[in-house]
Amino acid sequence: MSDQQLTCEELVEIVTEYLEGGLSDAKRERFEEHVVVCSGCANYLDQIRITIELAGRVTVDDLMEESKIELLAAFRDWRRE
Amino acid sequence: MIAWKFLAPGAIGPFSRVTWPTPTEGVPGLWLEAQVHPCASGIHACEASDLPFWLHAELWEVELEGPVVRTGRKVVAPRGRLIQRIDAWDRGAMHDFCEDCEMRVEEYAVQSDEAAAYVADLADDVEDCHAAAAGDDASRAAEAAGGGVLRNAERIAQSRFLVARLGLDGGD
Repeated sequence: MSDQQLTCEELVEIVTEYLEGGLSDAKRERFEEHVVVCSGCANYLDQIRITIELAGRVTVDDLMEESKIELLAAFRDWRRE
Repeated sequence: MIAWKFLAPGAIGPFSRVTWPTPTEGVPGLWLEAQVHPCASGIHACEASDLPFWLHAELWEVELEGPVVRTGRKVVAPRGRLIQRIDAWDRGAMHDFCEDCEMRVEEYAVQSDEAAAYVADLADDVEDCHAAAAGDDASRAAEAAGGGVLRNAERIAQSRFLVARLGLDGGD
């Protein structure tokens, strides 16, 4: 049961797993209970869904070389932070 | 089995984003079907005791068919259809629910400083008419004042308020 409530930070960390159906039943329920009460996280979840829907149509080959380099650099910098 | 389901405006599942077929002229909506996997798939609804955990814009009475599995705070079945919208769940009822929660939080506040911190949150919830947040804040205040026992009692009180205020039956 969902006695331990999820924080917004925890939700952000597991949102991809949630959308991919990778969470345990208990964790999924905690996730959804949090979204019910937190309008910020509900908006965030909607935004991620829309992003996946739009970005899901883009393949690696669709990216310009310049964009690939910029993205890879951004991820490298992000991991260093 | 008759159960309850909160939906987003337009009879849309808040998590699945599925648009439910709505009843017309007293005839229930079309059946929706899904393979049952308690949280990931299946037709989800809840019993009256779990209503406070799933508050959303629209409340519907649903009929579930097939083996119904109770899991956590929901019930899951392979088939379900909307029977009728509970029109009593409107902005007035949401506001009353928030005020009911606020009233109890004021009692918890007398028992504990930590619980008293939620008084301002409840005032905001009442002003915003955010029923789900009010229910959650009240359960947190209850826990601060009296641990898990009082938190559970608070959720029971919320459920009883909804059943009485909305004139529900048959959910449990």
